[in-house]
Amino acid sequence: MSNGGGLNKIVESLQKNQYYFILAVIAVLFLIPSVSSRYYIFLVGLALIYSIWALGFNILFGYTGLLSFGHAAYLGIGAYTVALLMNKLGIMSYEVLLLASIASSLVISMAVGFLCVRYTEVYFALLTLAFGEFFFAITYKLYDLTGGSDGMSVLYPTFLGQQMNLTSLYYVIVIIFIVSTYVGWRIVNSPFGKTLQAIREDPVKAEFAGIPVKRYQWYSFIVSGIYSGLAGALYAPLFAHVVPDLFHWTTSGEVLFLTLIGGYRFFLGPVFGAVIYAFLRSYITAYTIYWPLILGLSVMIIALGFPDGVIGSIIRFISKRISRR
Amino acid sequence: MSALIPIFLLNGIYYAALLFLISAGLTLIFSVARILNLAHGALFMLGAYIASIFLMYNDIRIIILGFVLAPLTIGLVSVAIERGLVKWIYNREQEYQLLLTYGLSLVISDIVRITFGTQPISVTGLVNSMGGVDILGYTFPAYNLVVIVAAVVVGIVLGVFLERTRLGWIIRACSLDSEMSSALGINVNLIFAFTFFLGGLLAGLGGALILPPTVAMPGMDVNALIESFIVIVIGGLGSIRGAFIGSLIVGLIRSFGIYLFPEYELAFLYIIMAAVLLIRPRGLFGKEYRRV
Repeated sequence: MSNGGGLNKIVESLQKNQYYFILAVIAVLFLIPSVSSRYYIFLVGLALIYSIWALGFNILFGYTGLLSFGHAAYLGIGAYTVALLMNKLGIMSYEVLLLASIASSLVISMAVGFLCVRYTEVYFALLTLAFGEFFFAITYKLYDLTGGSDGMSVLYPTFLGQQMNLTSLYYVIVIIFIVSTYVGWRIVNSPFGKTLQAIREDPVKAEFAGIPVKRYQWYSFIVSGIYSGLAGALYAPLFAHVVPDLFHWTTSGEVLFLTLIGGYRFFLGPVFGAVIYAFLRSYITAYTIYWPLILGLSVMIIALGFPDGVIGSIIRFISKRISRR
Repeated sequence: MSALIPIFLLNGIYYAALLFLISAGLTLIFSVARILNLAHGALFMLGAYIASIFLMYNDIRIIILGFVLAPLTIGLVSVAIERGLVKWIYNREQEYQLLLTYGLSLVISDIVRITFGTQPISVTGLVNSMGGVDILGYTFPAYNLVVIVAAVVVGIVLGVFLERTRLGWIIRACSLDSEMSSALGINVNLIFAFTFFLGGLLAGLGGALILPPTVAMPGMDVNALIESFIVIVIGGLGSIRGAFIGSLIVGLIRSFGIYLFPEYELAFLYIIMAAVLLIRPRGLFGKEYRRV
């Protein structure tokens, strides 16, 4: 088993030097704008936004065991908050816009979450999906406010009084990514996070252990909604445009899909998934118009054959080989 | 306004008739196989597109053939899905079941897009040639009345089938406890496949019937799915009677809502749904939901 031994060494050295590894990744992220083209700055920025969104999604899905099929709603609300405040009220300060997105996604996820966490499993998925489509339909309908299917254009905002551009927006994305990853890590390892995992493993036992299950599920929903709203607030200026499709269930499916590529059973899984997905999608859509077909088939294959996600399955395979040795 | 009430009533019932066909299939499959089929909307859409092949002819025989063949085809596609894919994940967590049918829904709707294009397909010949019926001075399309009658007939046949026939009893037994039914010698696999066939049949029929007055277009799958979700939430998951009442409520709200507050008609629908959720979480006719 020379192969397994080699992998084992890699895993071990990664664990031993994890702080160096993290520092190296952060350094690479900060160096990207000075060495790569605008296209890759955009793509890495997008991957990081997906990561923030998926980390939030996974707090609800992977750590609390609730599968939301409407998580596009909070991404869309974050993005539309930025677009609306910018276009209707002329607010250009990104500090204000980011805070407003957090506030709006907080309020909406509190309201929707309050209704949805009364249910679990299939009912929860059904309800989150229905509420998600509600926002999709309403942005279509309120043409005067949201521009209907045309959407709204979004300019680069100002940050600390300075006009932003792609590079400075990218740095803001990187910083928010690092902070939200760290905060997420602290959350899932806190007593709160452990409580969520206890609920995931067995809600009935958790209830008997004195945990107010519904309330914790609600908190988890809200945290997850705020992450999504924040991702949306970063998404809007990066794409310079918001459209109702942001709210569509295929967008909700994307976050589920990329979380599953990466694997939802370990913390950074969604981040790996997000990076793979962002690059894969950008290459595949450049060559084929059959993206939904490919996406759908991949989702089906994962559902049937890779319950731990692609990365998760690989890691499990490796650790099996290691332990066999 | 008051003179228009009969028309709104009829419109609402017509709308409810279509919703009932779609949501009855969805709820039937859920109650027996415990699968929330997210591809149900896509099957409905596929039914509409397949019907459009036949309905563009002016020959009544071909049109009738379309109304028979489209539901049958969808029923068979639905069985193929059950035997080929869903069968493998009955014992898995519900996340994977949802994921599989979600992926399937993307695949089916993209195949429809590739085959039929993205332009809306319209076949208005049938509705026009059937003309209208005068009701209190207003004209109501005769075709819509036929749809209402068809849905009522389907509802009655379905009810009698489930309540009065041997096969219906077996299906209900499986929905209560499939393991016990299997222990009693019932071929549960066959019943699951048959339920998927019935569900597909209903979705296909709904798709074929909705086509003449409207159009077949991308996006109709998700709309149908979401609206049948609302119906199911209001009526209760897994209950045909719930699907019937839920469809009526949603159909009438839409029909009157569009007239009374056109901007907020949809929001109103969701408020009703939220109210049902808060007051009676399992839906009007739903049984206490439990993990089986």
